[in-house]
Amino acid sequence: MRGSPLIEGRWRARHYEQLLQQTWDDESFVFNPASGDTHVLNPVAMQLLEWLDATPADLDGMAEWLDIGNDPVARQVLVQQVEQLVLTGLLCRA
Amino acid sequence: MPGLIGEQALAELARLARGPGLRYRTGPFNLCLRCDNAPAIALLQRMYSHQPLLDPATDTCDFHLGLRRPRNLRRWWRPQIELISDAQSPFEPFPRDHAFALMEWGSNWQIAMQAHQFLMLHSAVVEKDGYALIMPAMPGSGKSTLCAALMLRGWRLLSDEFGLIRPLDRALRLHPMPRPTPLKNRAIEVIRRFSPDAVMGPVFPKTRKGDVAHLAASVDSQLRAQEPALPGWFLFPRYQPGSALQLERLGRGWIFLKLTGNSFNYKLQGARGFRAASELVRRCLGYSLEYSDLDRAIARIESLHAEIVRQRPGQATPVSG
Repeated sequence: MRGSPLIEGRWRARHYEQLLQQTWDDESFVFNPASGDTHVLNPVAMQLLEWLDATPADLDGMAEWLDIGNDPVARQVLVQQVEQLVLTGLLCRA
Repeated sequence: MPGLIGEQALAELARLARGPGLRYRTGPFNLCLRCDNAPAIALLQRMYSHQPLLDPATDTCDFHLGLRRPRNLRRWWRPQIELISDAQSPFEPFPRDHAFALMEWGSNWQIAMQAHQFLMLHSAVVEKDGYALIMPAMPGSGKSTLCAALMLRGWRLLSDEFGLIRPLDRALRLHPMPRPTPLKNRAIEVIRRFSPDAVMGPVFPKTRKGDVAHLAASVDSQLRAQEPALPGWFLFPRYQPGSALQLERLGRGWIFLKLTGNSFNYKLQGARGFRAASELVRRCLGYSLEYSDLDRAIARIESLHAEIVRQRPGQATPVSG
């Protein structure tokens, strides 16, 4: 699977063990002490972040773990999700 | 100097303000005011009547605020007054007869910029039976009007503007700062009609926020300014002319976003701010209230507050410190 050039390669969660989390109503509020920012993550993003902390992976690996097969819409959503996590500093290159 | 502001002769208060500084305590803060505007000092005496003066020999001040006439032609032509904070004049001057409004605005600004020992929520806070009702500021919500009306029906005012929480306090108590409530525009007449005996100052016309008049905190609120309250619940009021009373439960995630987004210093507090705000939201239910009739809104708030307090037996004893 090809994503945007920004997210080629393998990724892992960044500072995951330091993140503070609170989940309400299917939304996770994540405070990143490194940036001082608070992020609102949907359940998929939160699960992905947790999984990437234990298992660095590329987009194909993430798609396989999420079991989204070759569905182009789902893959596009995954790309956007990963881009968001990269931009907010919650993912970094493995 | 011992005693309450209202017990001192106005001439003595004016002398202190013109000279070494008029030092007084409001909630957790000691303030020092230097000002030669006699009408502003007279209004301060009326609005802060039951708050303590400080002894200049022993009490240091957290904030120093000066009001002075600008050193230019505006001393004589359409006279103005400017705010002095840390020897700087950070804002455009106000008309001289708006001195008290500038003083209130300036001290709010100083506190919001500097009092980072607190997580400062931008909220009105009132208390009954030991528990606080927190009303976060939403534009055009009418929270000041509702807050004023609750105070005039016997609730204790903690603040019209600041929800002060020490972020490392596990009880997350809200600390009072019972200063005058600045009522704006239509709210001035609404509150005058609601409570003809309310202690209100003059109307300052055409300020940046329209017409403003200050409502003094109740005597009980002022005298209990060192008594914090436990967090009770959140209310997001919305005044909607002609609407029926409508109360709805809110999701905690939405409350968290609004609360932290409106805080004066949530981001600056870092991890302890996140912990305190999320714990506060975890402990407290939140509702929205659309209303058009103050008396009916207050009746509904009082019954809901009683229900919430009843569900927390044994915790409602006010604690000091």
